[in-house]
Amino acid sequence: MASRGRACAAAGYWPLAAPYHSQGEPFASMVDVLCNHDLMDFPSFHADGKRKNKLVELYHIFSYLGSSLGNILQYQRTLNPSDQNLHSKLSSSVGTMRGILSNVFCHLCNKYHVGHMDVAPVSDTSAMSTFENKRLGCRLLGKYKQVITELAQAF
Amino acid sequence: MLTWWITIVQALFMFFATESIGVLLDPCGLIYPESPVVQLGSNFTAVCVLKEECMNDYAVNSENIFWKTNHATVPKEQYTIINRTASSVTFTDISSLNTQLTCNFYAFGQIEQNVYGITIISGLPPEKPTNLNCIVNEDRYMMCQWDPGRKTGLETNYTLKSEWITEKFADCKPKHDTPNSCILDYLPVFFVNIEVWVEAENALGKVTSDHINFDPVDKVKPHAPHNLSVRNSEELSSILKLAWINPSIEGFIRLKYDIQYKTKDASSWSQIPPEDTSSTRSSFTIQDLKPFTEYVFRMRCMKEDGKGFWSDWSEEASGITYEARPSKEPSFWYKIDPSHTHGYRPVKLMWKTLPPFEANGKILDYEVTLTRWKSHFQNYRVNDTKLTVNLTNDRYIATLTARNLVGRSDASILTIPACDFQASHPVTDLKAFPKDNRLWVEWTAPNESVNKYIVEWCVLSDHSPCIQDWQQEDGTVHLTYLRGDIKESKCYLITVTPVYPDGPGSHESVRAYLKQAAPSKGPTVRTKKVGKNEAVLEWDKLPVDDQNGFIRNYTILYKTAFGNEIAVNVDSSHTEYTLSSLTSDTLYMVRMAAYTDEGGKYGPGFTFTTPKFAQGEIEAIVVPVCLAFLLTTLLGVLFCFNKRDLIKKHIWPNVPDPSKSHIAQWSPHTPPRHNFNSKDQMYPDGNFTDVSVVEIEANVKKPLPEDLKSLDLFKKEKISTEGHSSGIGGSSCMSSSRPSISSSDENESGQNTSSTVQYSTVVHSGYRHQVPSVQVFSRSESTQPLLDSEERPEDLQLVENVDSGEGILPRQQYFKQNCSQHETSQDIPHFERSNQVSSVSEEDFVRLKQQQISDHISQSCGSGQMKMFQEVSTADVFGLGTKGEVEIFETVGMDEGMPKSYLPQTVRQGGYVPQ
Repeated sequence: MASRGRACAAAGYWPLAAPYHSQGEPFASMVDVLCNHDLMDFPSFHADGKRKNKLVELYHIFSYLGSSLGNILQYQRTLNPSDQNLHSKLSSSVGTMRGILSNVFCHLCNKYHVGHMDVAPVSDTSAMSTFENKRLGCRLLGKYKQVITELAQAF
Repeated sequence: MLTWWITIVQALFMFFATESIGVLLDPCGLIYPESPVVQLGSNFTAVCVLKEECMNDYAVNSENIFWKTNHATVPKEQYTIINRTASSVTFTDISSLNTQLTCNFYAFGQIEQNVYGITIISGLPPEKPTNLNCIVNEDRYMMCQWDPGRKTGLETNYTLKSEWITEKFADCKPKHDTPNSCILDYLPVFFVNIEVWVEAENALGKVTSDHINFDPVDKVKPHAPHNLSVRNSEELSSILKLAWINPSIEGFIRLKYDIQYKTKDASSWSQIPPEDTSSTRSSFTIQDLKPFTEYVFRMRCMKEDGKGFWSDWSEEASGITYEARPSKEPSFWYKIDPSHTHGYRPVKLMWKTLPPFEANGKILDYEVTLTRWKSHFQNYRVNDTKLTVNLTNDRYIATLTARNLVGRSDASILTIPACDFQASHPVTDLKAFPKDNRLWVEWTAPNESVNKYIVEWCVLSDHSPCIQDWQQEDGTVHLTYLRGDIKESKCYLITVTPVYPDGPGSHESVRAYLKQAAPSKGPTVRTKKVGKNEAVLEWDKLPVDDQNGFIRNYTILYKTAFGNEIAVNVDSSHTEYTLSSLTSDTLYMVRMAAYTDEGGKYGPGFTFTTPKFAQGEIEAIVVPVCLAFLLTTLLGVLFCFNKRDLIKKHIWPNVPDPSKSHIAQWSPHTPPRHNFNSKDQMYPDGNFTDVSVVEIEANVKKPLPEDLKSLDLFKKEKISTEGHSSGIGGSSCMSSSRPSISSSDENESGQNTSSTVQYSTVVHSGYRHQVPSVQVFSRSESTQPLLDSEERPEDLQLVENVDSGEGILPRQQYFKQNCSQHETSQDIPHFERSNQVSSVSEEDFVRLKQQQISDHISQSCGSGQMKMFQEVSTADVFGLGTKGEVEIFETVGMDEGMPKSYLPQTVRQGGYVPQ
């Protein structure tokens, strides 16, 4: 339970949880339309499942989010190389995701003796256009906003 | 120099030898190990292995090897010959950090050849790092630091390692300038435990510190709260509300706070109780503050559970509490001008401004109310702190209140008694003393109930008036300190007056110093009276401005010019002191010091001389001496009087009466003097008395100058008064006032006269009524007739006849006077009469003599008389020189047929005046 509480607290510290601001046209008027498309490969979560399963699903979700944020950080370093503040916050968020994963894995290991977790790879977005990358980022943040609330309620 | 040449030769030899071999700088052998690092205190063994080629070329083997450390040859006892090519050396207890070790041999038996050299590096293995700790400054990377332990002497590398359970992080290498700390290059992730440790490694070993496992959030040092603001409340003058903005970390950790405050001028801070600020908040209300007081605040925060570190202090913020009504009445006092005018008395009411902590705001004004009777009062509103009013001689009640924006103070009530009020009941045991750089006043309260005390003080000075300051104390106080600008070395006159409900009581005063010092100058000592063996010193008390403290005593130092200094301590109440046991006729140097509790100061020196004689001592000596002298004189006189006959017999022999003498011949036919020598012939009765001769040098013929005449006369007078004359009419016993020219001082008389006069004594054959048959006069100018007349007063009648003579009027008058006296006192004894004459006419006699001498010498004697004396001097007085030069000789008639007297007064020359 302690690990769960820590994870929730860490989610609150995530900078990307701040309200999303539009980036201008065409996002100014079509944010919801462009970002509401669901991510097809996002791990599933069953809130009514067993605790161990929920923890495993939680691990997968944060693993996906961490990897995706890593990709976003790399892409932002190219797209906005001078925005050190954004880079720092993305980096901090990536580190926080890693911390949550470490805590979840430690909990699974200590309580459920899970010694290894398979992690599905995140699709490579390097070949995508800038717009698609931005759109993917927007969708990811939207998904995060949605799932983090669900996760908090599930634990 | 020789060593230098040997070195050069060796180098050249080596160069050519290697060239000949064809290998450049190919060593003849090696040392193993090549780069040894040895722990201090351990043993070390090195082996030198020679190459075969070199051994053959130089004809050496391992036995020829010798070792050197830092150019010093190692003793052979440490060598070990391993085989023909190898030799080892062993060192025990390596103590130096860096040592150069060389392997050498003598080429051809005499040339030192260096084979190989190594440097032995020695040191210590690293100690286990301790006290590893980490801190996470908000929004910054985590930094960890540790204690490295002892110095190793070797290059030691520290590595900070960290890891989660699930992954390891990159090592953190300290920078050279901070070898004992390291900053991780990734942002710490809160709520994920991390394990951290330090590895220390050098050539002698590797050691790892203890692992610490912590959540970085427990090592956080948050930013300080910012934007502090302070706001007061009009409703409550004792509170201030402090607000701030928390650091951003407050978003995911809870904070607690440390709030401190102080008044603006205070130096120490007060702290809000920690339990009141133990949770996250953004404002706090501070209570129990003083009204209208400016407070300064600061605060800091940390994680609520106390894990982590306090933030830095925030910037300070200040605020002023709101005003409140004055909390205390002002101090209130009055002074009455002693000058009464027409039944009124000027009263100066005065009060003190309230201190800020009692004013509780800005005092707008003061209200004074004077009540004469219950129904009669006067109100004054004053902005100043004093008010002068003219009051009647009646009793008044004065009240004073101070007003600020919020309200009025309590009233300070003061009773101004009537003019005829008699103050009483003073405080007792009043004393003042310095303590803790303050001047304290303590007293014993009177038995009566006291409303309050008024403590007044002023600086006593001879140069300025005593300007009083004052303060008020409650009636329960009996110890306080003067709350004013009290200065050191100043004499304060402190007065305490109890104030009773019906008016002030009697006051008591005391003097005190906050801090005493030595006097500014010493007393000036002087003598009041100086005696032969004592001196009374006196001095003035020092002015109070120069005292600088209470004069406890004086010290008088006095000494003679060569003597030791003597110190005398005198009580401060004295202003004079008597130095006793002084030496007479001695110069004394005196100086004087005045002493306070803190030291003394000498005044200017002073000298005085004791007299040789005490007062009256001279008189005590002189008077008895004079009395003794007078007594002796009197006794002498009496003796002379009693023995006058005997004395007369010795020094005043009987002189024959010329009038009764018998000179056989007084004419040019008088037989020569030489005939006269035979007394037996001429005076067969033996009645020839004496012969006196006065010689006056005849070679001085010209008259003397006037001044010399007077001098001459004076001398004659002196001679005559000295009484040395043994001639006719000589002196009395002691001093005869009767002048006489004596033949006993021939030299002097000869010097004083211009001619020599032979002075002859009248020789007569008859004596005492023996009438000579023939008057025979030897040349004589004796005064015998006068003497004779003393014996026989009847002869004085002859003087009357003489008076009628010519040319001798002054002397005749003189003698006439004497004679007249003699006539009027015939029954007086001769001796007395003689004295009488001398005493009465001594001065006249001198004058007479002067006149006579001057007459004879300078005037009348200029012709006939001088001529006569010249002739007399050159002629034989006793016979040869009497051939008529004496022109005038009065032959005095004889009474009853007898010659009365003989007065040879009309001598022409010689200036001799018979007496």
